[in-house]
Amino acid sequence: MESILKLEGICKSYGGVKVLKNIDLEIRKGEVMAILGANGAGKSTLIKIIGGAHRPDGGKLFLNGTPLEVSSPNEARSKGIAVIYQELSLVPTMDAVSNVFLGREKHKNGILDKKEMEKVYKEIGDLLDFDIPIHARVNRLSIAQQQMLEIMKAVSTDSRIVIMDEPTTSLTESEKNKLFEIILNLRRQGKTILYISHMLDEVLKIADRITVLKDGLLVGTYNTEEIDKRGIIAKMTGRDALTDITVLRERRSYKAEPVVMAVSDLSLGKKLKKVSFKLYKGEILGLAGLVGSGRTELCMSLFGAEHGYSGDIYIEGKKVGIKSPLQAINSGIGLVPEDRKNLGLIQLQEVYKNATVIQLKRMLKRGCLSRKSELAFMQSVKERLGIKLAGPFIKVRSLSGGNQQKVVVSKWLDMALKIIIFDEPTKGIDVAAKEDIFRIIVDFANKGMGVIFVSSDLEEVARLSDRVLVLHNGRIVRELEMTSANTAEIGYAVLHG
Amino acid sequence: MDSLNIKQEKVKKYFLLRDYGVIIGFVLLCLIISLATPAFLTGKNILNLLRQSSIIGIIATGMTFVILSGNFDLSVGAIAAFSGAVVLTLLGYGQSLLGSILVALAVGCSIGFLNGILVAKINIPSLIATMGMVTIVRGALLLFTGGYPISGYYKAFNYIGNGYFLKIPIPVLIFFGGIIIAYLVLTKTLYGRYVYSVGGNAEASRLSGIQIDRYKISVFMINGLMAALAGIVLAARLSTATPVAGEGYDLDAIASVVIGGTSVSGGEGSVLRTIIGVLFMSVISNSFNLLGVNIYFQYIFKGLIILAAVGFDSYSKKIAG
Repeated sequence: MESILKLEGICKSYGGVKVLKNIDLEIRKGEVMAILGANGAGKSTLIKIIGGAHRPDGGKLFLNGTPLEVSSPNEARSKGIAVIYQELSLVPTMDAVSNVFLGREKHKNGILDKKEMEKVYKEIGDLLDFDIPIHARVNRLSIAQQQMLEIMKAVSTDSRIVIMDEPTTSLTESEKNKLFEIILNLRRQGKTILYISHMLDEVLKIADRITVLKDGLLVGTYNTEEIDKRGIIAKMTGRDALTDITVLRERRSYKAEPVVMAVSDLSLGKKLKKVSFKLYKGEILGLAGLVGSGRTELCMSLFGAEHGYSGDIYIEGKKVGIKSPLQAINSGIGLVPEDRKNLGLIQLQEVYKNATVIQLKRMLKRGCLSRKSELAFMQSVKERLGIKLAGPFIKVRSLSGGNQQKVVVSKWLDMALKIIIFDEPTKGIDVAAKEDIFRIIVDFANKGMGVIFVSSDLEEVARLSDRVLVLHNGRIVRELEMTSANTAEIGYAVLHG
Repeated sequence: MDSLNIKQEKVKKYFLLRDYGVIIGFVLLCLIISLATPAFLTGKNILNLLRQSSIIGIIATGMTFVILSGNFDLSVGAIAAFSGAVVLTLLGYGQSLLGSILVALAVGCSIGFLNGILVAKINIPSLIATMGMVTIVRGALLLFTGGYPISGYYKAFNYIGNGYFLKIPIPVLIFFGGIIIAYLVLTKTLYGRYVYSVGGNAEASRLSGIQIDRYKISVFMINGLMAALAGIVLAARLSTATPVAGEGYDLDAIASVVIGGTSVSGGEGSVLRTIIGVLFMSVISNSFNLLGVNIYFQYIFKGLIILAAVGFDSYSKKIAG
């Protein structure tokens, strides 16, 4: 089989963090190649580079043997590479046919040739066995139908390589099966498919070969017939059944301790369905699950940032109504949000102002802000958390990711919280800062707080947690006591559902 | 890695220009004009300049709060006109000076409150909400006055607009008094800090336990109060309140704030900068008059300055990513 796309030594960094390291990959013409890897492994970045949305920092791409340089998605499309992203690129208020031809409208002397576009639309629809009405408004279509439009878009540009990024996340069983038929149909037409997914069952069903990425490195490419689920998980997590991870504090069960928070039947629209669990004093409870499983929604609901949830929350046995972040804080709950840049910090403000924002009331002298008190607090947290700072008056936006995260954490120090929630605290942070953050999390737990720790990095979850809850589609599907479980088991539970 | 550093340097330069460019520009402008016409730097002219800036200055002080919190308020001219009408009407009915003024201020504050509710609770973009309010308030004013101006000479009241205290015109004292109080509130109080936070990033502020609606609404109330105050001073100056008073004040006030360097995206700036913006605009009018320059040039010049001032801010933010 000849190769249609070749990657040699592809590297990419974002803000000092290496996201792709020396990727060598060969994709054969007419195959369905699946790309697997944990969140943050580099899958999306790889796709963005192939699709022309980003330029690699190093390495070369070859299309059909000739060097490939794309500087925009349009250019990539003109060379036959079409990408269907998770966040679909359709205009919701326009109709189906307009969207399929978006940016490449057929026209005669500047006047839209609607007849021609409708004709081609019907042809493609017949070819793929789709039946979405020509003038259907996109915002009235289901996600599955919107995806089909994206596929029509890809086919209408005569793409030879179609890349799909997690296409099945919002599809029902029957819609998924239809999608698989479509993929096999496209393959029959000689197209090459790159398929990114977490869903091992699906991947094993339709892919010819599987490539596994881990922490920006290419672990390997395998023929689907030669590998099974457990084998893939082992490659993705880098661990076998017997683990060898350095544990940060002695692992034990905290179920004998007082319950610091009890959640009962928490539901939020389609995102969370009757989530119930207990959190014990001094425990680090890991929350694992795929993107979209509802982890962040759970964190935000517990913090009062997401309203409209139903269900009860009990803090130290007492039922509390948490309808706003202020109420959550007053009940003793703190949150280090997933989106630290936009939700955790005020980027244009000075570091010390960000650090003191929650506890400002305590730093007043005779009703006025006391800069002295604020700076004293800043100095104290700087030392305790190891924040690398030239001075307190620097704007937070100039700090590195790791230091920014420490500033977010510093907001919650000395607050006598009962519970603190960390949502993906180490995303986009360098290794050294990660270790610092882990130590900080363990510190909170050692002080007697209940800690909820959300992470997509299974190794981290295994290292830090005393107990792990696995979320899938808004439900808790597994509970693992970490005294006996290991990374691979978590991985299995997360991916298997 | 190198490209990142170069970019950071570039960004720093732009932000510096924005921060100090206005002051330097202002000083330069004053120097050039004082060279062109000696009449500029006389005590008499400067006092004149300050007095002419006072009304817009008072409004701009309140407007600074609103813009810092991330919003706009186009209804200030209408509020000023309405309050002027209220105070003169009440004085016409024989009410006390203090009482009439307090009621007029309360009216301005209440309209501000309504603006705040529309923006914070119903989520109408502030530009549209206050635009709607302009028409409502002006309409109400026309109904109230029947389309006719309200006049009345009251000695004590007139003193507010035309009197002097320690050789300084009272409106100027009110303007600067307002600035000082606003400065202290914005820099020294919890309230002020939270106004900046909400303007800097409302969502992050909410997740830090700040009740953002409270701050969003209260800044409109402060702005309404200041607009009412300006309207009262104007009515005191002229001893007349007309339904069309205050037209164009909204844009002049916003222009003063942004020329001064307060960012239109919120969260950055200060009332001290607003003073510079106000004076900048007045110096242009004043000096152009002294030099006999066509008034239409003033508009063009003002417009260019606004674009330049805001342009630096917006562009720096764009390249900072």
